Amino acid sequence: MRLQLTSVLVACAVVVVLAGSARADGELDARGVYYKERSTRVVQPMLDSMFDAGERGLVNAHFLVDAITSASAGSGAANAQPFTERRYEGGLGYTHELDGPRGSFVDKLRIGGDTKYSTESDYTSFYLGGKVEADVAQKNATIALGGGISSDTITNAGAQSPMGGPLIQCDVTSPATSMECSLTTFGGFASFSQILSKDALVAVSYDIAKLDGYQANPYRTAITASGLVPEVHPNSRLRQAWAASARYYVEDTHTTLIGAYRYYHDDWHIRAHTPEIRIIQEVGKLADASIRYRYYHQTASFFYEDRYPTLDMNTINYVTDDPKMSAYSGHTMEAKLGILGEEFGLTGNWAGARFEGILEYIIQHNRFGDAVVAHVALTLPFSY
Amino acid sequence: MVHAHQRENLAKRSMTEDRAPGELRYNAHERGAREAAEGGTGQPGGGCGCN
Repeated sequence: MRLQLTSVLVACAVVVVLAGSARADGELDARGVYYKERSTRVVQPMLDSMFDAGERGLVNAHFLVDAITSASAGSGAANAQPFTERRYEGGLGYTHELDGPRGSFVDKLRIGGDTKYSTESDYTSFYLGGKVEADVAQKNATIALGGGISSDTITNAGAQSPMGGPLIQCDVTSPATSMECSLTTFGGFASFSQILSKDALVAVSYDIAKLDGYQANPYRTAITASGLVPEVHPNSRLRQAWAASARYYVEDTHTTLIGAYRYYHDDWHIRAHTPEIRIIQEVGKLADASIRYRYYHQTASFFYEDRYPTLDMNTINYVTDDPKMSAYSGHTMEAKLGILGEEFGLTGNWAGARFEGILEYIIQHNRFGDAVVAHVALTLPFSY
Repeated sequence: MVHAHQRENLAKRSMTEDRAPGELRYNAHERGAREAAEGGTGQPGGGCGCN
């Protein structure tokens, strides 16, 4: 908690120092999200801010609280006992813009870095990343490259007995157990977007992540013919995702059509297809309404079974009770409305404030069951 | 080649990024908690038509 507050204060200090006496702009976004499914409820208030920092800098910061109440073993409830837990997350980033070399193909170059820290009773995560983005061909295309590393610590604090157990087997190749395990993730991405016409643009991206460390849930057990055994997932995972999207603006009706598709695969044999469409309709000059449909389908991991046979204790047995490891499909339907403050007769900065509401219904063909999600948000622009 | 003065439509909110950072981050986190697939949600920037 102290770290998040410190991050926000540092962000403010950086803004003040870098901005000097020049007039600059910023934006503050306050959002509340409510998520409800059969056995799990999540409430997440969050604050996002973005400030100009000098002529060429942009600072962004966020802070959120994730309050989850669940009785689902799939969500990590020990022995399916209901639990309530809070997760705190804070992040800070800075992007600096430079002119491309004179006479070169590059018009603008943006170099940025960001960090994020998240903590809850049994899981902490620290992330550090950077990226380079270049506008090229008279800003008709943008190329971006980036990467990051995260270091996570997982404990069995949620199921602590007076004896300190049950302990976790951090490394599947070693019988040693511990109260604390680690997970390190190296990630990278590349993206390219291109303007096709005055009304259309396309984008493609590629993401890769290599995970090394403990990736099971310390509280979940799998059903085998010889009884319940602690979940064991492989210690290594290579995840890759390709995505493409296109946007087209229909000038006659002031409608934007967006189509996207993602293909994901990893070395746990999971393949996933995610097509999505969105239609955004301007309603006058001060409001917009949109609808979204998203389909999701994935195959099972190579070690997922509904019920495992008697385990051979002479080999490594990967077992899981995680619904995310099973084959399943889902549908997301969303309606969204955004209205500027001017519509309500507000003036000054409040005229440009955006009020937003989102309602989602998610069909999940697994034991999580269907879910409902609601957002309310206010984005306030300001100058300083 | 689309020139700067021709990018009025491309500069609209719906053609740049119509979702706020908090919405994107929440969606990625929520789906990451329910689906095995992650990544590929797109990176910011690109062809925004901003001058």
